[in-house]
Amino acid sequence: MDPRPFRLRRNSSDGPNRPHGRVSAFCAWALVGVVIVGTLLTRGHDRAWPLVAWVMYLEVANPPDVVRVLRVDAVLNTGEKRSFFPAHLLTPVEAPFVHDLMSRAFGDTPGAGPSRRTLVSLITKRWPEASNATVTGWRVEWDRAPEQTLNRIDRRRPDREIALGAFEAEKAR
Amino acid sequence: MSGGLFSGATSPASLGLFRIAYAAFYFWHLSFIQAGLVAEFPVESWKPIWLYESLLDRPPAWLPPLAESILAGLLVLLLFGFRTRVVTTLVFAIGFLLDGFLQSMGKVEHGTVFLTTYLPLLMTFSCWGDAYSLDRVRYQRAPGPDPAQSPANETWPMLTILTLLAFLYATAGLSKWLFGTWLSDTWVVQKVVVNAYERNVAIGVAPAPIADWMVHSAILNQVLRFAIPLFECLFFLVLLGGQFRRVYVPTAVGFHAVNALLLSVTFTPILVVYGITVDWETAATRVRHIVPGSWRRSFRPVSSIVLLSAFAVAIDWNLVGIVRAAVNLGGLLDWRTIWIPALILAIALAANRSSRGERR
Repeated sequence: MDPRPFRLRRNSSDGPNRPHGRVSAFCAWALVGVVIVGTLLTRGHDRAWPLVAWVMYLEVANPPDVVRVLRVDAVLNTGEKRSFFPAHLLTPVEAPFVHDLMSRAFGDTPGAGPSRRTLVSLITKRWPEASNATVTGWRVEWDRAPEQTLNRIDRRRPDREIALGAFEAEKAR
Repeated sequence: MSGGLFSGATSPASLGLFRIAYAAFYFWHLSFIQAGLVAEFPVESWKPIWLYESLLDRPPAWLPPLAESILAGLLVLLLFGFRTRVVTTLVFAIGFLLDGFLQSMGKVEHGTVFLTTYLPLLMTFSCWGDAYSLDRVRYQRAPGPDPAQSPANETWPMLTILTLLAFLYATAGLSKWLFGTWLSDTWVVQKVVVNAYERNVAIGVAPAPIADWMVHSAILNQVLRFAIPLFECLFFLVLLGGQFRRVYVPTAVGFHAVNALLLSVTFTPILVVYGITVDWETAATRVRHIVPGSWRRSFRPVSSIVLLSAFAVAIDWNLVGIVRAAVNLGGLLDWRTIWIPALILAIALAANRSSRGERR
């Protein structure tokens, strides 16, 4: 038996990771063709991923009169409180997921229970003590000037805070 | 030896170094992914991509974190070039599976497709494991010429990736003009800036210091309204190489960096793709004198230790999380802050190019 069963054999042109140069190049270019044609055929529809086109920011809406966002406050029995905006619980890229989650967690929809459980899971990853907290949801609003100017939004001083509801973190888990 | 820093990763050595950069970047990127959330999110969040539509419900709870842990271990193997072709194929397969789950949660992120799918799939056919790898060490023991020393360059890995990149850039630019409002809306850029700034401040992203003049400058708005789609449409010029690529690549990195730092519009996974345009061997030659020779000679990775490390990383990834936290410096080096060194590098490369031009 060969004492080196994994011993490599090669010829003068082929390396361990380059068995057939021209075939490899052909396959790669063929894949590029498939991706381009596929993306054109599916018109880059998002759900056709990975055949997506970069069709972002085609139409940009006027800035709204009111900037609205959701926030959750976790309050411990001791009175200690921490506030979380969507981007605090996951990355800014994933903030829309958390926003949807917050909307459902404080709504009357069937998905409220699982949403609350996930929300508590996200909060306790950031603040483990919050497993016994009271979690309150808020819709926070800032009025902005109607003209297209850059409004300096002070996150600590919203114009309105509207309570959406509250639940005990322990019961949601 | 080369046609400059932007002559591309075409030699086995240069592709080998690009492989290391890719694996390290993907490893860092993965440290922010929390695949376990796919199962934790309520069923209403599950909006599967067409490929996954046959799955009636979400994947079983154990699958995404397991796939993520295995992927972390595989990236360690890819970093060291262990059985590179097989590992690259697995990185593609598992990364694709995992990213497909994440894209099925209601919002498709357009930036990850190169990192998780196109790049590893195309590199499966390439020779990026022939140099700076355990495969090479293994191969040197066999009789015959050393493939890492092969003078034959392969341009197709770079050209196929840049072709796809140019195609997607073209879809971005053309769609703004053909289907969007960028030709008719004179304040479209201003609205992008205002909306992004206010939305990000509201959702809790640290605000960037945007000057009011930027928003109110009619000239800047008009210039950018045409310059951005034009830049996107003409990205195919990078395929020509030479001066076009030397100008375009740092400009593209700078463009992404400004978007990320100013507007928090991050397209971070794309950053590593530009690495294929760099001749890493030339770059390594320039910085090699910084690393003491004794260190370089003493660094000899051993397969068994690399395998053990990959296994340890896979176990740690979702159970303990020490490596995950260490890779992103405890969250300091995130999707946005990585653009600070990227912007500095882009400016340095552009300045280097300018000063060379002046000397000529």
